[in-house]
Amino acid sequence: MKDIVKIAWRNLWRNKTRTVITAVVVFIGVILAAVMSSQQYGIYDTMIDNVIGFSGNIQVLNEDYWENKTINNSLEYSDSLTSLIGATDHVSLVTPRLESFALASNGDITKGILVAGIDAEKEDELNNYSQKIVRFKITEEVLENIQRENPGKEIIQSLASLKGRSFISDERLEANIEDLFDKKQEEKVLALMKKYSRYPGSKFEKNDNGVILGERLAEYLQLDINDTLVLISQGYHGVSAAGLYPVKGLVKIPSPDLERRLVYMEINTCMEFYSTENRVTSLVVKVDRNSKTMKALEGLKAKLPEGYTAMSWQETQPEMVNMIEGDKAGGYFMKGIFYIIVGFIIFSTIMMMMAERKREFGIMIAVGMQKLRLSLIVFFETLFIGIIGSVFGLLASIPLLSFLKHNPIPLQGDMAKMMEDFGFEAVLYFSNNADIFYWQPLIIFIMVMIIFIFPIYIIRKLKIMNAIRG
Amino acid sequence: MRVIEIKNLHKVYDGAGVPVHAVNGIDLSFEQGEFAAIVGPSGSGKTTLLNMVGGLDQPTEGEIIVDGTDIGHLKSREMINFRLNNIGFVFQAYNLIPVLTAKENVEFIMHLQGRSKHDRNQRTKELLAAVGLDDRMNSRPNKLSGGQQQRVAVARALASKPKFVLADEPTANLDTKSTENLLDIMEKLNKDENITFIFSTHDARVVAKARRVITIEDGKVVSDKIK
Amino acid sequence: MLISIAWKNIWRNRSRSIIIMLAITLGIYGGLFILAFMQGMVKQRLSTALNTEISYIQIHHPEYLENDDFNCYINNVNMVEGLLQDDSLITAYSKRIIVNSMASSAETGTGVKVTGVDPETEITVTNLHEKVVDGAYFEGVKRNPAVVGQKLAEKMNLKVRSKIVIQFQDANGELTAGAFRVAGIYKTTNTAFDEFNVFVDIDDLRRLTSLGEGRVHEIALRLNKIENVPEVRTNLGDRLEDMEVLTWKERDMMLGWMSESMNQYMYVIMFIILLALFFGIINTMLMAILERVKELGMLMAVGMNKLRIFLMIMLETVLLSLTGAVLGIIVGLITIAYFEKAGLDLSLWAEGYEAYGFDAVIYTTIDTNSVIMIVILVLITGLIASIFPSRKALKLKPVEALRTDN
Repeated sequence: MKDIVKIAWRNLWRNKTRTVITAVVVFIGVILAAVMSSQQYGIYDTMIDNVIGFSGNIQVLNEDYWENKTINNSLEYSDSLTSLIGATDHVSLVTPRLESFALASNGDITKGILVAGIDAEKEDELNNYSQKIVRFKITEEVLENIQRENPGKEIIQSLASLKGRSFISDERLEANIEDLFDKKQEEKVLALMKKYSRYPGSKFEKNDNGVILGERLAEYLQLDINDTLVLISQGYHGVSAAGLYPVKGLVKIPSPDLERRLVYMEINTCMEFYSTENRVTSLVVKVDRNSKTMKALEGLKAKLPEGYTAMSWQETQPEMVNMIEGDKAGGYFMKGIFYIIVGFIIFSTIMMMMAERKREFGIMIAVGMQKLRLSLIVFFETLFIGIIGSVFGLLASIPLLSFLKHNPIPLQGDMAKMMEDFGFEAVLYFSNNADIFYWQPLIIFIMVMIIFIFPIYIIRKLKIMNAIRG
Repeated sequence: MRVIEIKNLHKVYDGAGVPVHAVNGIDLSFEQGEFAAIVGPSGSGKTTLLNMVGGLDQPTEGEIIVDGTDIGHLKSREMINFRLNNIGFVFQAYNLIPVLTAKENVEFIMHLQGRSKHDRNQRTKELLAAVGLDDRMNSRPNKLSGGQQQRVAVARALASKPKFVLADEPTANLDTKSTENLLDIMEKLNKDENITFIFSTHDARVVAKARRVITIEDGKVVSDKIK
Repeated sequence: MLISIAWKNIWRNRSRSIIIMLAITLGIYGGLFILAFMQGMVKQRLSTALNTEISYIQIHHPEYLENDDFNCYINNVNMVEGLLQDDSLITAYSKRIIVNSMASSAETGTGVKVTGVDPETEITVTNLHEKVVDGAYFEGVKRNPAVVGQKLAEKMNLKVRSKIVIQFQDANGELTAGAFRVAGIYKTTNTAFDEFNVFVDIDDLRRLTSLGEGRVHEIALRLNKIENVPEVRTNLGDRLEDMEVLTWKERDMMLGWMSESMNQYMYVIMFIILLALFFGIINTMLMAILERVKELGMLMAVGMNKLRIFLMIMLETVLLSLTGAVLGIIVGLITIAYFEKAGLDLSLWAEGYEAYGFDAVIYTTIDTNSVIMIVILVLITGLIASIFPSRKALKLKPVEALRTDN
């Protein structure tokens, strides 16, 4: 056996160029398929993370709520229920939500919006909303103030491009300033920025009676910090709901659609607004690892009392699941084409090798080598050609993708604006999920097996005399 | 002792619609230790005859009995095995596996037979020494001259201790000196070890060295002279 | 003459040539089909946007779109209408009043955009009336009819003749509500649109909001050809200096971006496919050269100069590549034409597609330019690939090549 492998390996190198070229093709195929999958999964993961960030992995609801999403189908926010859920395997966090609609208004401007009552601390654990509160806002007034300090024409011009922008942290501010200005001006600009563009948003305290608005909504309603928001709606069992609330902060939400119509309230204040007493519309559950969602769901469903139900994010967001599946299918089609092309090229190389060694094969069988053994040699040659390329491809793609996952490629121009519009950071996302990697060599192996059918057939049909003389 | 017995051998094949009687009733036998040359013009049936003696082709009629076994009707698998253990081949060219060294090429046969590493090593050394190439053991064929390659082929052909060696135009691509060398070696092996050599050849030098010359024409033996 | 020799040389080793040609055929077919698929998607999205959603051109008060400010209405509507009627490239227009409101039913409420339209003129500009799946477009309900999207109807448990209350701020800043009855339910291939857009009669809405006579928020235009959009836009823009005239591209940035970036994405895919094929072709041609060493030596010896040898090999490579490509294009065009008529049914993923505004049945389409582009790219690939085998051939010395060496 060792002999066979040795001969097969050496045969590979009889025509170095050809073997290398074929291996390169396989290498390219594997890397491209890996990068493509990585990119797809990168976006999917980000989208899923965003969804889970807002809706959690699982939601516990009143069993009638899903069919009829009204505040009347709420559930009681009791300690017993919360601890029951919390005790389920893999559940890492339970936080309450009271969601309903309301008419928001600021004098002349009104809009139908979504109110989300949240627990000040637990919600933060869920999705870090406090980190997404706007801390710097570059309004016209800010720019005017900076102008008065005479920092220089160049700086003023560059700053103009930042009008209307806002940032949630020192780091984001600095990053954007760095992009726009060179080292010398950076310090100066940063100092000015920090002096004038600070925005006093802050997160909720317990029983806070302020509201936090999606930034886009605040812009539409022309509301600023400490302005008053009027909310009108229908509460529990039709009771009137109305109230005035000061704006405590503006927040950036990954989904721009939500950002245009979301108002956060502290949960107790919210329960008061809607007169629900101790009732909420859902209990949002976070699972320690996304992959354990189903398991946790099963555990929950087994324990929940009558009248309650639990749904995974896949059940509450079927469109997104559907879209991801559809996108995956498209990806399979494209990768399929790449692989078939690679397969053909391996095939053509093997066929060329077979053709040029007909006589040699004839002699080997003549002197006494069984056809089976000869087939094994060719099998290993075929296998090696596929393997070399894919092993190198794997070795190259694993570190590459891991690097890209943590250092995504930033995007420019229209594409960037579009992504931000959709609520994503304007970068090319990558994932280094193990799934991406172990498929590739498997596919190459299957192709090798299929390709190998042809050499076997040729060897079987080999007529020694024709081979030697022909 | 009769190594090969050929009785009433016929081979007919289809030559574009017309049946061709390549071998048309041949009776021959060979004893152990013979050094014979089969000659005949192109189209005489010489090649066809030798193919059948070597088990590379099957007769339409008649028997070829090698050391008691009728090889004319063996199945493919059995035939390959038979050749491995009983017949040595030296072809005109391309005898050796290009990716193996001289040593490995000779060992190759014994590997196929399943002999132990010790046995293989020992015999390979002996054989290569016998053909005068023990100093070129680790060279690949592309580093050896034509004559040297043929000598390795001879060593390889003997590796399995075959009943006889079939040499098909072994000197056709060689210059005079190499031919002489090769023939001398084969002659020595024949005399010292009593190994049977059967040549198919056009080469006068080979015919000169042979102790029995069989002439084939139109599928029949027309003369069979022992010197 | 060289061409005929090159062609015959390809067929000296039929199986080898066929294998690589098949690879090329498949690669080109795949690339072409993907391109047609994407073009089909974009075309359909564009069509939906133009015919159902945002029309070809929209006219507003210059500040209207900033905040959807109810009080930023178009004043001299008659003057505008005169201009529109004069322009032969404009086939129809419709006037609308728009209010951002909250719709509520017995149990739930949600924010919606309510557009008041004149049904008779509206149907000349948009094809929404063709998308009604239940009930009728403004028929069957006498008082305050409303036409709502299916997604909204599901969300709010509405059926035909259900009551829907719409709350908004009127022209005086007062909070009012109007009760409407669902006359029809429509379904487009854009679930987001369906969820958010409610249509009512313009007169009903004008009365409820107390917006004075002759005032509208938006005028939507339909043109006879999409190519005329820039021209019409410029004309109108010049004459309506104090109004905002926007094309569909400006109205929905993503659409414009999408059709442009599709092409770029395609180039990347074709490039990758051609890269793999490039290597395959090189391999094949190198082999072809290798087995003709003696013959090449002979050719050089009897007087074929280096340029001719290079041309011969280059032609062989290019012909090999083009034959495979042309085959791939033919098969591609046939399947594309088939799906252009029959449509590729992807309803398995309908929900996902429609959430982003795409129909789940794709009608593949390809423009001539793209096909030509692909042919050119294959040509270039073949040309570059031929460099390697030619170099090898040209390096041969006739004397060495003719030697019979093992």
